[in-house]
Amino acid sequence: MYPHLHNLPLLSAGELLANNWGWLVVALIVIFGLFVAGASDVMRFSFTRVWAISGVCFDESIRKRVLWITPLAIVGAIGITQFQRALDEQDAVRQSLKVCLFATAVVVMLSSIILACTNLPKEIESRVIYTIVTKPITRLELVLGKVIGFSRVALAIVIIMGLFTWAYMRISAHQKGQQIAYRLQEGDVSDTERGRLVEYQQTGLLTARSFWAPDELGMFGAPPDPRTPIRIISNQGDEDFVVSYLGDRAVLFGPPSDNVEDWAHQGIGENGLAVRVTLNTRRTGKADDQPPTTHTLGPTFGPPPVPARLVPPRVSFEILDQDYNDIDMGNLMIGGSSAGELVQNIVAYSKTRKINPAHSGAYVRLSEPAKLSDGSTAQYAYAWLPPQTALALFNHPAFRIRIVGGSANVDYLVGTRPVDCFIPEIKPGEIDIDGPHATKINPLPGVDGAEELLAFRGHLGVHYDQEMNGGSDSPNATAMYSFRNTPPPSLLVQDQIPLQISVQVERSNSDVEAGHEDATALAVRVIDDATKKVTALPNPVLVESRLPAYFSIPADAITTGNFDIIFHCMNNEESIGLFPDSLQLIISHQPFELNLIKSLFIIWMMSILVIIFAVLCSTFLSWPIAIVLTVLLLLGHWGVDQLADVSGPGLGRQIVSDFKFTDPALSSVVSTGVDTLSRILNGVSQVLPDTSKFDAIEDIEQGVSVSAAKMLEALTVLGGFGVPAIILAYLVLRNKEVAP
Amino acid sequence: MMMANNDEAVHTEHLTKIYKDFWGRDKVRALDDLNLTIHRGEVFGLLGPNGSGKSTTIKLLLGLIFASRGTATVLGQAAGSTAINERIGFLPEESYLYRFLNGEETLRFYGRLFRIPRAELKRRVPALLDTVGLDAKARKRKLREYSKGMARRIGLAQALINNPDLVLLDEPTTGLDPIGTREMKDLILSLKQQGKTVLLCSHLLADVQDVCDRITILFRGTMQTIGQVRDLLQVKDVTQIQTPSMDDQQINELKMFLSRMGVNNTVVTHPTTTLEDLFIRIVRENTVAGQSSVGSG
Repeated sequence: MYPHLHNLPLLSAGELLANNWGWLVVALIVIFGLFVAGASDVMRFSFTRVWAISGVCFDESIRKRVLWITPLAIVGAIGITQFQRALDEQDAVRQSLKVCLFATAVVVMLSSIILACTNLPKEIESRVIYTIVTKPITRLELVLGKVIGFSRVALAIVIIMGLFTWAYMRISAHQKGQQIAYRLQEGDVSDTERGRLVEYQQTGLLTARSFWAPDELGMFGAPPDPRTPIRIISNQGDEDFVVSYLGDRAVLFGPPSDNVEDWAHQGIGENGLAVRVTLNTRRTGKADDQPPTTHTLGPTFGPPPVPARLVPPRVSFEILDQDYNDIDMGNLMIGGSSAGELVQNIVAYSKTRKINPAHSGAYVRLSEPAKLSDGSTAQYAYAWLPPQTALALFNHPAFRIRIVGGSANVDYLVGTRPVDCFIPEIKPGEIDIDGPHATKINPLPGVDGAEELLAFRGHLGVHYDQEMNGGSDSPNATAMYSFRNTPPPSLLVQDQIPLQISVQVERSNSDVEAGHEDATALAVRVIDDATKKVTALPNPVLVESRLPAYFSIPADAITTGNFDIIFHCMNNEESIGLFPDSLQLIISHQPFELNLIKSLFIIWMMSILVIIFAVLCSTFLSWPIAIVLTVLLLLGHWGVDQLADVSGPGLGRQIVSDFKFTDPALSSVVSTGVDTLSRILNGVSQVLPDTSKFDAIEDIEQGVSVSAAKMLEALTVLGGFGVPAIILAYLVLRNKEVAP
Repeated sequence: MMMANNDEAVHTEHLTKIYKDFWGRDKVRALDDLNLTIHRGEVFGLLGPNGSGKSTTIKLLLGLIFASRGTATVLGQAAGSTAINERIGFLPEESYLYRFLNGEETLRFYGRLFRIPRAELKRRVPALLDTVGLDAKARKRKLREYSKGMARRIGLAQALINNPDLVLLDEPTTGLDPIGTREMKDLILSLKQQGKTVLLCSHLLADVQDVCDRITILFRGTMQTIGQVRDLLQVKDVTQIQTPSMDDQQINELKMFLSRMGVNNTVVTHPTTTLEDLFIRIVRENTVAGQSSVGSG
């Protein structure tokens, strides 16, 4: 969702090793298992024997009528698809496809886990294993034979379910296609629908598309001027900007210490964190925060009263974590228009240890414009996060500073380096906020060599990520998608570059049901990055909530793969919810059959991983426990991922704080214990496979071509975890007495 | 370190197996300090009551379980070695085979584990099925439909699929009718004639007596005696003379003659046949040509 997150983890070699110890163990297992303990068995390896074992596993499964489960799954899938509520014809087909593939995955995984977990324990129990291992077959060949045998069974199920899915989808798409043709012929479609339905008719309901996602989504208070780096956000939180910092402990908390609690008393633990924002403002209407003029009743004498001077606008400071969640709202910070004013406010705070609301970082007035050496002007605002609240940063690998405009009818003009962050020097009688004694913290670098990672965002929507107000309420609100290094699309039709956009429309604070709305129009402009040429599309793009809309831009609007596409909502009292990838460039089309095969292949790869883990568990456990352990191993990584937010570093401190432990010894024990448990949990997840990499349904369901990278990712997990698991199973079986 | 002797098919030194409980404490001493040598080409009998350590010995020799102490070599290599399994055939005490396969499929499967070429398997499988007495109808039936006797026969066939040098037979006649038992014993003798070594493990003493060159008797995991069958069974203080049938007068004269030589307490009787011989004779006499009990379940 946030493409720049990949910039965050910059770990030292020691941390890298500590975080990947599981991989090291796995590598050792493979080397030891194959080249030390199992060298003689490797030398004797024969695929004939492996194939013989796999054949008997396959025959056993088939003769036990395992494949009879597929008709049941097919009937179930057809039944479920009858109860779906689709947004349109394409959505109906895709929902059916999702059900079919989900049924396929469930049937394959269930049969794989049951077959593979029960086979070996039952062979040992029935002593059939006596006549196998007394033949010249190595335990490595035995394990591999079983894995391949059950993989063949899984493949048979996948093929049967795949053929059903293909036939069912083709029939469904044909029926829906006829309905679309009829509706278009009869003219029973709105203007908004027509473009979408024509696209369905021309491309087909099942055809997969390859997309190119934009690099960045920015939300602004006015259309960006391509000739200047200045960007504009408007007032009162419609937009904001965010600068990101790595939670570099050595900088934030002083030199590393063995006892993490000690870190709290160094760096920002002693001095807090200071933030300086630099920008310019301009009034766009009547100021809402002008001081009242003194009015006098009756006649007055002497000169007329001087109107109160217009004071500078305000900004609000917030600190977010790496996932853009609030760590500290501005009211936990102390603000000031200048470094001197901030120092005064800090001194005042130090006497009471209470933040005066008038000095809150949530509402800091900018300084008067100051003339800079290059002739330009700048306004400043400062905020300081006290040490005890700054320690919350200790729990996060990264933090982000968010600046929101606080005054109405004001445009905030933001340059390329609007935020600076310091650990101030605080000594008795001397506070240096941003001077030579303060320690400056470097922000994360931005894309394309930009000095810092600066993101402009809209206010967060309920269902969709960021919202852009439309119509006369926000005449200049703009969303800008930036494409960089985009490959030339292969689908140029009449020199037009095709795009797809999917948005959420909200109207008067309520979501709009798909298919029950008037057309929502988006004005579109294209900015070529090389020439700065702006091309406006002659007609607005009509969109419906949560349904894809298709449009194109002229190929001659851009000269290179670097360009921006700007949207503005033309409808009053409507806002548009956008994700960073809501707009996509359509690169190519791909036949449904090929996409289906790729999707089924990923399901099959996952079933192989399931089989390998099931065989491993069955080498040393009875089959019911083997099933349970296999499920745990396969879901372990996912489970830890779900807990990731709460099991991160600093959990121990957080629990001690939440439960208000007062005894230092008990606090230390609880904190250390919880942190150790959390570390163990995260460590264990490192050696468990990430099954989310086998997501075979999401792409094809959304009509996206399953990428080679996705298949490679699945293959990497299969190889990375499957091979060592096979070696482990071999080593266990090799040293196991198979005679009960 | 043991020295491998070319004449030895099986050699054990202080072979001991102790089963342990969950906590690693000794639970059962199944085999204790077995020192045994079986020569190539002989039929060797491992005798003993239930729980005496016979099957444990065979499992140790095959690597199904691991020795707690001592060593064992089979055909010159460490017991349990995968490579030596190429030259071993094993018939377990019950036919532990895949019950969903038929007779032919079973042998083809085991043949592939020995990497026997397809063409050779095509020739060897029917020949073996003939040898063990499974007819054309039986060999197409699933093993789950086999009688116990038929299961023993297909079990024996799989043990011989690789034309082994050493055949380990654990209770080979269990479940067989007397004819089957006789055929099994004939087969064992024929294996001996082919120069193969046979290790026979049984508690049916008559079977062992009929086919074994040497035997050992185990009791509670310990070897009690070992030697040639005829030596061990010979009653040295009694002499037996066999002649064609004699009438009463001839018997009396013989007794008087022996009495004059100082041999008293002479017992003269007609020898008896074994029940097995009697059964086989009657069955064979009454068997209609072309019909057999074999393969009918």
